[in-house]
Amino acid sequence: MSEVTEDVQPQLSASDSALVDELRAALGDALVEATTNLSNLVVRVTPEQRPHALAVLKAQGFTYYSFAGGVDWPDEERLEVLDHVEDLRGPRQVTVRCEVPRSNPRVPTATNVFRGADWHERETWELFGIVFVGHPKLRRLLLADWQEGFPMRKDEVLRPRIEKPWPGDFFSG
Amino acid sequence: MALLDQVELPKPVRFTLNWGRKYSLWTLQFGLACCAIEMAASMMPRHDIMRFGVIPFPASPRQADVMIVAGTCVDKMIPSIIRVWEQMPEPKYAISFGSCSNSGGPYWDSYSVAKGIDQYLPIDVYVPGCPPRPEALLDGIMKLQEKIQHESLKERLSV
Repeated sequence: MSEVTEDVQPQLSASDSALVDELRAALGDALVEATTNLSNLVVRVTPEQRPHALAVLKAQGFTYYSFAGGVDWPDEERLEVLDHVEDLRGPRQVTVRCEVPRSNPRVPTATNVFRGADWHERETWELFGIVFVGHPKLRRLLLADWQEGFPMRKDEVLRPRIEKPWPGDFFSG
Repeated sequence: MALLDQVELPKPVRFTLNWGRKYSLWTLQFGLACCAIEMAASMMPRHDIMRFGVIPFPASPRQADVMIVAGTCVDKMIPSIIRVWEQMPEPKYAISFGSCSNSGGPYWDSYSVAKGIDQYLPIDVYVPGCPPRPEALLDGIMKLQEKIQHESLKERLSV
């Protein structure tokens, strides 16, 4: 129907560009890239600068720490931490991404910047095994105390799937 | 109950005793998820579980005869369920209500959901469905009453 178009990077809006300039002034080279996703700004920073980036955003009015999450990329041997902050006046949303190696997933905590990041980081730790260095009390939040492993990692073995394979080829694994 | 676990009662007495027990089931509701809504619906006027002699609101597990485990039992919840179960006096019965508590249901490969509450409690009646309709619970109650009617208290209590 239509020609194959090149993957065009969507343009940042004017307010997002201003925000990126602000971040670049504060972080320098630690700001790796800035893109948009569904009209929300997504910035990637180095793991060491995660609290700093969040502090800059907080000073810019992004005072609500919405959630932290993680992504496991086993093929590329890395884990990703996602922090989602919102400016409630807008509302505007920014996602801060940082990548850590799978062999040593350590990233500085953001609890000094947002006190509310505490439980989100505990949840991300228990599901993905990402260690938040400097977190005041990094222990299990939702799962049972005797849970073993980090269940959201893609190589985590689900025992029922071994005993009875998934009926069908969708999601086989 | 001092003698009931040693002496087999005469048939007429056993019949009368069991008949009385089966129409006075104080039911502890262990509602854990969406199945609890259906369980509540069966206790409302439309289905009216009390006409079967089920008394749905005991003040504590120590007054209850039946426990209905309705919903998704996560691993973290299991110690609480066992604790409440152990507080109930004998003779006691357990109904597993809904696919999740029967077998894990749609969460059969989850990392946090118990694959069937019958690994931890002696279940008398399984009610299938996701969630089961209130009528299914009424049917489960009738099955349990049948079981109680034909039961020997000596066998039950001497185990």
